[in-house]
Amino acid sequence: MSENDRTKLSDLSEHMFRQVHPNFYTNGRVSSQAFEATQAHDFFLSVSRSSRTSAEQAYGLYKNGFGLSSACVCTIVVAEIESVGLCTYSNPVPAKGDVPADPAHAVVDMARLSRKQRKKRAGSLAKFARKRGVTFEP
Amino acid sequence: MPDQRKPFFEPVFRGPRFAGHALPLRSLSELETYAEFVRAVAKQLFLQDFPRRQRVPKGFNDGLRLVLSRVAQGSAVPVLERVVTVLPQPQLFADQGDHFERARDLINRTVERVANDQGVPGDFPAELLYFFNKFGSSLQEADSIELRVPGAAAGPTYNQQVRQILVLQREATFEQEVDLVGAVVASDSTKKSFQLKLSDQRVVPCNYTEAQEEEVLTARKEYRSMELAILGVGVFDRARHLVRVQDILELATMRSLRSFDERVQEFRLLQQGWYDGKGEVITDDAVSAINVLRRLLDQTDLPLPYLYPTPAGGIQAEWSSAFLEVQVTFDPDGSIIACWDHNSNDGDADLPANGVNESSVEELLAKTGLT
Repeated sequence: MSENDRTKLSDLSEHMFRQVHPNFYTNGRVSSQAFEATQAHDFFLSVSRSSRTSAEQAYGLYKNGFGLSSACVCTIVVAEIESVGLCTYSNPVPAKGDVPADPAHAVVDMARLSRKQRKKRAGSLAKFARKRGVTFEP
Repeated sequence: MPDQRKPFFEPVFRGPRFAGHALPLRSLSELETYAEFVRAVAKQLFLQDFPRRQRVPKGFNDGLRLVLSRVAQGSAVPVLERVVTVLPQPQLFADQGDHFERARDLINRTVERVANDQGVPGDFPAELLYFFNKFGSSLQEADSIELRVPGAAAGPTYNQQVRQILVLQREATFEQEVDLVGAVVASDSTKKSFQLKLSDQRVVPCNYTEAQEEEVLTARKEYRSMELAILGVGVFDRARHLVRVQDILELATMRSLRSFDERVQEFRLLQQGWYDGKGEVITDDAVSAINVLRRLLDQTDLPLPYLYPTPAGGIQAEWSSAFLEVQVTFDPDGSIIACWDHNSNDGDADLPANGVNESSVEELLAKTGLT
């Protein structure tokens, strides 16, 4: 994500939808890994903004538009993300070739954290999400 | 007049369970069922002899009172004697012989003919074939009962094969005692039933009673870490497939690592790219490391974790409770990293691959607050 794209989200009550890979969702429990940003994404965790899309629409775009795997959609709130010392940025993605646009895209910045710090933050975010329950499951 | 005893039936129980002349308590209920069976057949024989009668005389069933006098030498041979009340007057229906002895002999002859592929004899009351479903249901595959009458050198052999042929003459299913162990994957309190998932992935519907409900529901709630062992009456179809467990005679909950093993096995089958093109194959070193945790789980009361593969080719174990969040990652090289949040106090620790053993992992888990 380039610096130019960054707009820090200021509405602390806004919900962020996170797609959960099927291998991170078993027996109705979501792994903390679903909230752990990876090197493949420069340690930015992708989410979708509730002000721009719904959980179901975000799921449809993720599966059908991007061809990625998701077992369910979980929700965390911007205030929860900030409570563990992280920031959320809007990051709309334009269409590219056959890949559709994702105007609701946002990211949680974990880039400056150590691996252990990322794991702990992911654990906290997963706990918030689990407490809320799965938002959308096909 | 004093009661007398007369030998009536000396069944020879054969099979590993009856070694050393031991007669399992469950076999005693077989003897009770047998007595009930003889009475039912005797009643039919009586009504055949006296077709104008609608019912047997009052007290007819008292004509067969059996007592277990001893277990004789041989295999396990319970000797059943009949208590005979000596009457001052000749019996009214004595002309037709003793209906109970005739019933016993007819049951024996029926078993003998079926064992010899000669079919059910025509004089056996077909409507009573269902009794074979009850009699012998506790027999296991290697068991048999030689239906020997007193004074005879031998008698026909009654085993599961013969029994199934007899039962399936009139029924679509037959009953047989089963020993099963599995996870309770669903339950319905209103129907008093649950689904038991066995290690071969079969799911068997089972009925339970009010008294058994607590253990069933506990096993359901803790199905990831607990299994239910049951001894029950199984219902099989003609293809010998277990259709359901009709009644549970005994049950017990037991801790299980099966779900743990199944998860690790699933991870080993993950192909390169499993994480939307990026997931690595789970390494042998990661599996070896998590097996150290498995041994600890087997030896201690440590709660069972949730397991997930990691995109890098490792395995992550996670525990959650209201106040505790623990992640222990078994990395592809066999090293371990642990992170925890215990009452909002977070911490972390790690172990190099060459330092992973049961005591070091136990020590690491103690730091997390899990033990």
